This record gives sequence, C-alpha cells and structure tokens, in this order.
Amino acid sequence: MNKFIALLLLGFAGSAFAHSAEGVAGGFLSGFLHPIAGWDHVIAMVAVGLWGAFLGRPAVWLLPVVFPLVMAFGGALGVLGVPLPGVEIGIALSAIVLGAMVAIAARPPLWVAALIVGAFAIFHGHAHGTELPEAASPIAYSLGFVIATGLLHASGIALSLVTRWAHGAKLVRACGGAIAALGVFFLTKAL
Amino acid sequence: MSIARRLHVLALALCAAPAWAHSPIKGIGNFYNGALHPFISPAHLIALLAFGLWLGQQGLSGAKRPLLAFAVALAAGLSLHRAAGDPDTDRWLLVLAALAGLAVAAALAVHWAAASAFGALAGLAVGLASGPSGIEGTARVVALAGTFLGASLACAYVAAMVTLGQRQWVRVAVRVFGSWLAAAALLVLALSFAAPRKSGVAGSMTIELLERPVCQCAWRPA
Repeated sequence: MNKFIALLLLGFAGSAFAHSAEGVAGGFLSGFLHPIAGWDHVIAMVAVGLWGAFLGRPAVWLLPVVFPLVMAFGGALGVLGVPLPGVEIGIALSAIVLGAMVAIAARPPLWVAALIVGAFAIFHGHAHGTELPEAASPIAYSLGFVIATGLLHASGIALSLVTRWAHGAKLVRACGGAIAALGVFFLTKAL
Repeated sequence: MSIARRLHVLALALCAAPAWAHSPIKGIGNFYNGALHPFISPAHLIALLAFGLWLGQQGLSGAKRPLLAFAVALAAGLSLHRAAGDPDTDRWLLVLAALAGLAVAAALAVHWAAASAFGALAGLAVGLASGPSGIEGTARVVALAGTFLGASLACAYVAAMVTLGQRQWVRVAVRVFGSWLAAAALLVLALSFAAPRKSGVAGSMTIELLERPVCQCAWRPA
C-alpha cells in the first residue's frame, strides 16, 4: 500500500506553465461540464449510483462499468445522425424511473436493472453525442463527459453510504423520491 | 502507518516539482518535446492508458513480455516513420484503445503472446505517427529518444500502479476507468466515420495543432 501511494504521488508533478492547449483542454472542459450543466443528467446519474448501491454487489460497480459503454452506443447514434425521438423525454423519464426505483428500494434481478439503466443510457449518450462533432477536440470532449458521468455515479454511491446510519436508508429513499419528482418537472418542460 | 513512513511519503510528494515546458539547456528542448508528444496527442494518450491498465491487470509476470514487445515495436515505428510516410495512425490507435478498454472493463486475462502482439501493434502505431518534422540530425534523434522514453514509461507507470493496487476498490476503479476509455474511443471512432474532418482523425488534424509550438511533429495538414 505504501509503495502504491508513493508511486501515485510521484506521478503528480506540478502545473506545466508554458503553452495553453486550448483545443484539447477546452474540449475536455466542455465535455466534462456537459453532463453537469444539465440537472436532468445530474439527477439521473446520481440515481444510477444510488440504485446500484441499493442493489449491492455486483451491481454497485457493474452499472458504472456498463453504463458508459451503452452510453457510447447512444452517443454513436447521435454522432452518426441517427434520430432518436424524444431524447429529452427519455432523459426526464430516466430521472423518474430511476428515482422511483431508489424511492421504493426496488431490488429486481441484476439483468432487469441493467436493462433499465442501459435503455436510458442510450438517451443520455445520444444527447451528448449530438454535440460531439462541434467540440474543439472530440477525444478530449468524449473523455470529459464520460468521466463526468462516472463521477456523478460515484457521488451517488458515496451518498448511499449514509445507509450505515440509523435513518440513512430512509434519507436515501427520500432522495430517490426527490429525484423522481424533479424528473416529473423536467418531463413537463420537455412535453 | 508510522511517523517515519508518513514522512517518507511526504518527502516523495515534495519531490514532484513543477514540470516546466521548456528547459533552459539547449538540446534538451527536442527531447522534452518528444517525450511530451504521447501526452498531448489524445489518441496516443488513451491508447497508452488503456494498454497500460490492461498490462497491469495481467500482473507483474504477465506484463513483462508485452511491455517489451511494445517497446521494441515503438522503437521500430520511430525508426521507420519516414520510410512509412508518416502515416496517421489515430484511427488505428482508437480501435486499439477501445479493445484494450473493453478488455480492462471485463478484466480479461489473455496469454502473453496475444498481449505481446497487441502491445506490438500499439507500439508500432504510436511510433509511426510520432516522427518529428523540421529537425534533422542529432536533434531529430534526441526527439525520437524522448518519445520512446515518454511512451514506454507512461505504459510502465500505469501498469505498475495497477499491479500495486491490490485492494478490491482499486481493481473496480481500474475496470470503471477502462470502460470510460473504451467509451470515449468508440465515440470518436464513430465520429471519424461520420465526419472525418471534424474528428481530427484519419489525416485531418486541425490547424490549431499545426500552430502548437510545443511539439514539432509530423502532423499532416487538413
């Protein structure tokens, strides 16, 4: 463990001052901010993390592994110009359904959970993918929004740690309810 | 952890000085440019990261031969970049990055021969597309040496990190990161087929890269 920490720290050099890589850095930043700037994305991704934590192993890590890949498929559809009707509706529905799953502490079989999450991942990916061609650096943009999405999942998993406390589970379920309610709000906006 | 060990770790952390982009000593500029090249080329970087993660998952004994194959192929690619016409291997690297990322996500263990073949392809792809332009003689050799060390050390470092991370959460994080790299690579591959000019792949590097003074590389104009 000490060797691991030492090696990790050695890899962290200070800032490199000289030339700004506006294309790559700008692309990464815009990609990173894309999921975060949209609250409908944020609450749905947090709900994935929360639900995965509720489902326990292996869902808690399987969903964050599978989600980006399925999202990439949806993104590829967006990039290739394949229309996906009702993308914003799908994103709003993802918040409603995933929030509700957390609120009722649903524990379906893993394949059912993966199917639900995967279906909605396509909508989220399509929304990100349609903006990919306009990015300053497409690779950096892709990495940015994939990493931001993953970090939102992680935040949901981190939030679920409160279940260790006496009323933690109720708090998490209440968060799920709030996410579902916000999803209804976004759905009315999308319609 | 004892106080002595904590101080040891802290001392190591303080050893990481700022990375200045240009060295004040003549001749090391080209080396530094060459060493930086794999890190400022997005396709190269994600391919190296994905391959390094996958190597680390194979364990110490399983990573040696593929890493050696990578280094040998990288050296060959760097030596032959001119003879090969400075090909643009970004699409090739993205495919390799996607495959390696998927392998990492699945924690796929393969025979060392298959991993070595993969490493050789990756090394060759990085080497062929990393040739410096506008410099000749010793300066060119120095830049190529820098690229060789930069890319090889990057792979080895990532592999070492993964190998040392024995805890469950580290293994899970590695798999998650692998899926991220695969997802990003797949998206850009889709873009490269849909809109090659905008993807920056397949020989259509954007003008901003040509104007970037950090790296004197054989970019091809759009």
